[in-house]
Amino acid sequence: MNEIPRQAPGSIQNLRTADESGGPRSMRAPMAEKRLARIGAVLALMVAVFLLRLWTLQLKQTEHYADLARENFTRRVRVPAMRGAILDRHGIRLADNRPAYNVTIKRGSGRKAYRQFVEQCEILARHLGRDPEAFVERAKLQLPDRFRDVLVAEDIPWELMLALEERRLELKGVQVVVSPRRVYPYGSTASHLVGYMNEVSRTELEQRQDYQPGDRIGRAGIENSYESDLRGREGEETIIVSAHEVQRDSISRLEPVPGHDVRLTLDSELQASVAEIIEGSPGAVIVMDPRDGAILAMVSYPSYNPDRLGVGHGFINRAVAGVYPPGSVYKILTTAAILEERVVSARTEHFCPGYYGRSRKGCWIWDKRKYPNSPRGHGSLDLHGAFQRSCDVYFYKTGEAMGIQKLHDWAVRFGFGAPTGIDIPGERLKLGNPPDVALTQLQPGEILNASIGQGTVTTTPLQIACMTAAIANDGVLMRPRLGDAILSATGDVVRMIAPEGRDVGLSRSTLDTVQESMYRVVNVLRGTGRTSEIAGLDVCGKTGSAQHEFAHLPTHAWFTCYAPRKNPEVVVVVLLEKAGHGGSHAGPVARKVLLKWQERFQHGESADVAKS
Amino acid sequence: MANPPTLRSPDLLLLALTGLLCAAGLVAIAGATSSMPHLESLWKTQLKWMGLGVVGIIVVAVIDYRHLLKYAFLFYGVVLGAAILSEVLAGLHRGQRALLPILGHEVQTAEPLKLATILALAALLYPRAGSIRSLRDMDIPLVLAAVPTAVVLKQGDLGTALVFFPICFAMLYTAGMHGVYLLFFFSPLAALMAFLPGPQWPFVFAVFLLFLLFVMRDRQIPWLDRIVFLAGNVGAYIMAPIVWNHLEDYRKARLLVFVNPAFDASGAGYHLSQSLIAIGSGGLLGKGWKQGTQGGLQFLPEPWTDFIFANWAEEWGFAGAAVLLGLFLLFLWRVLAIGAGSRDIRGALIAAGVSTLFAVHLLIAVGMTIRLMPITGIPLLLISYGGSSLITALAAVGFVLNAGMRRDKSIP
Repeated sequence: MNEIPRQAPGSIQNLRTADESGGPRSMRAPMAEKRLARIGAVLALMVAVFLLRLWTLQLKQTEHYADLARENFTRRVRVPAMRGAILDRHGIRLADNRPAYNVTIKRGSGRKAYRQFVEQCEILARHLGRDPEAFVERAKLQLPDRFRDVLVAEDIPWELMLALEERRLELKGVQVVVSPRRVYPYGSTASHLVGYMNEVSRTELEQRQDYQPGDRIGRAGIENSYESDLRGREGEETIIVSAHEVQRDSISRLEPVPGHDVRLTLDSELQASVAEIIEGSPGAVIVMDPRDGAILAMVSYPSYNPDRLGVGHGFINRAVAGVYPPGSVYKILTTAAILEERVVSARTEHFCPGYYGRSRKGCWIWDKRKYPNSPRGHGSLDLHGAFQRSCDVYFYKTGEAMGIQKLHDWAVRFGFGAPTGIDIPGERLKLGNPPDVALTQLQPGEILNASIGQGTVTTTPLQIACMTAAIANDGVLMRPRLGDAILSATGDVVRMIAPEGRDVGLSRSTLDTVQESMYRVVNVLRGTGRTSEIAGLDVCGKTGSAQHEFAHLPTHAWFTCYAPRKNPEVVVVVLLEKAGHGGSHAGPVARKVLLKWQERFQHGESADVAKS
Repeated sequence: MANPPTLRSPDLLLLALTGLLCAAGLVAIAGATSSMPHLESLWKTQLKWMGLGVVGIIVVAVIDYRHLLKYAFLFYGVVLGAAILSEVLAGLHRGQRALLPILGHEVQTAEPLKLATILALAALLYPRAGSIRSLRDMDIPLVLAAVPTAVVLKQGDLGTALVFFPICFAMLYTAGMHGVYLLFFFSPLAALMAFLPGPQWPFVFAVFLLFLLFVMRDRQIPWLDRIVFLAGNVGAYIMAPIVWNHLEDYRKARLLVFVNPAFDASGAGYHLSQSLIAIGSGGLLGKGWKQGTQGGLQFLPEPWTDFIFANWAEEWGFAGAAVLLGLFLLFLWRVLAIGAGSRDIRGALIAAGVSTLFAVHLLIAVGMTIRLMPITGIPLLLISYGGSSLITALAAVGFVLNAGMRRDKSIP
């Protein structure tokens, strides 16, 4: 009874065993073996499913994940390119880069890192002499942007930079980062020409693929028109980062290509002198070389300081965008036109009684209040005389005889009604003189005004300069330009900016007559431009006193001239807003400018012949 | 007179497989911590625990397991008490949950609880084997599994809490429970149908219930059980949305992210997508030991514990992952085989429990890295860094060896 049967061979079925605590226990364990096997099968199935999934992930889709992995831990960092400088004709820097030291703090995570961050901000604030609390608050604003170091101070003084470098080990995570900053050594003197920069706008970002948000782009002047040459090409560095954006190693680096320098035709000394001369009088002065259209100086007053934008006004470059009635300087055009159209010859005489026509339009000399000592009319004048003394009646008569259409056509030939094409932005078309509408739609009576550069006729000083230059260089209308050459960072010429011009179509005799007339204006008795006579320099010019649209205000004072008479080298145009009489006010200014020019270009530094 | 049990040598194959897996664990830990200097000696610590675990195996294997099982309930009670105590202490003075300071080390109370449950179930089911016919027969075993589950859930460890019931089912099945009951125990997962969008799902659920009825048509299954299961399923279906609302946000996020990783790309989805990236970019042969970029650069969270498989797959590629899984499969098979050759049902029960223990850990720890399971924190036994889980796992192996050493026939 107490016998324990031998264990049967085989499976656990029908097993009887005795355990140590006594007594047999009968175990009917149905097919435990088989059940274990089934469990095993389920587990094998599970592993098989895993393997299948792994196969999908690691073999079929591995490229996809490898890409994602790379994106994960590599970052492309832009390496900015050094912007090209803007130089004057002698290589003096008008726009340049200087290193600015910015201070950043690396962000960490966790409470300890935050406390450290606040501490470091406070230390910096004290060094900078700023209120620590406000400083910290401003810095905290950047904290949500997890992927960038916090920029806490920009453009710190050099001594502070040194001080921070010394304490570098103490101030973990504080970094001094060098970034280039645009600087304009000549400040407001050439600001209209050089321009300035600011941040690229959203619409521009959409149009131009190679700009990123936060980039700066040239806004006005040369900074704008030669942006693509100046900008260079930024480089790229691929770095490895860890999950907390801690930079580790650099994998590859594409070096940035620095921008090209732009050398201008400008003479900065002359520019500064001219700016001084015109200081205080709103207006513009242009000094141009008629042989190739090179601008030697261009001043517009008031001006602005590009290093301190946002303060004041003076943004308009009056030389290219200021629109004024030209007044009598327009008679250069009228004269050339009536000569070419054979309405008159140089000797044709007309009588000026001081007024003209049924409406008794006055010659300026008629005004007894202004000119009490002069006779009422000019009397009998030939063309030279009429030009020299700027008689309106002569031109009323001859202009009317020629007709508005012809005047209009010649105006177009001289470049009026269209932009001059100067290589800075901001040119305005002259109002009242657009090519297609224009003079032809004027009432018949208005031809009179148009002939003497009044009424709806308006021009910019630059257009007057171009017209004058066309006379000076025997009939070629040159395109005015500021850019002379594009240079590489090492000084080699990458590209010259070539002069361009087109023939106005003037005959030799017309040119001779006009040039002689202009000579007489300055150098012969009774000429309205005697104030700009310079001994030894045969200045040829024309005065203008343009009536403002509000007739009670003083007239705009114009003077345009070129010198010397034989082989002219310079054109000077002076426009002084509401300054009064051209001869009295603009003439002397032009004289000073010419003297300065002589100093520089005939006797001084710029007296080099070849300019290419 | 009792036959003295034959004492055979410990199963060398199981020892070898265990050793290989432990070695792989050391390699994995060293690789995962290679770029974090302060953690470089982690694998050495693991080695230390391993030594302790080996001592444990020897201790466990020396004494006949049938004798040891007599103390199973005691052991179970003590460990369970410790777990509850740690909870109470945590409530009282803000000590770390789930840990008890013993001999100067913080001991995870949940780990030995798993082993204790296996042993207690083995002792409990031993006399009932072959006569499990209805739910009533299963009542105590189920309670034996339910209590630790509840305690561990209270500790906040969902992953570990999921381990107890599968072990219990596997052991019940081994002890002769009708296979259909397995289906029942897993069917409340059908409560998931409550969450699926679309008007057709309630209809599908109804069909599912009918299916259950059909499957239960075997007369052996008592009517009460059928009603209980139907009611249970319906109850789960109704309760599921309510339970969902009571889930912590991060648990919700993990589940949602499991369904759609893009859902929370920088939070819960971040870990999952980093894991997939790590594994996927490993390719066929992996990036090489200690060259894992995702783990190494800290994109993968805790690559030496929870996500250790992802790190392994990244470093060793598909080949390495397959080898590791293969090792595990062999290991599990060997455990089951030893159980099948066991002298009596207790050995088989232990084998079933231990293999299920390892399998569930494998399922969750590996499955979550490849998006076959939602993310739940649980170590990969023998591989993941962690003294408590390592020692528990080795002790479990020890018990299996124990059974193998006392078997009376060869292992099939």
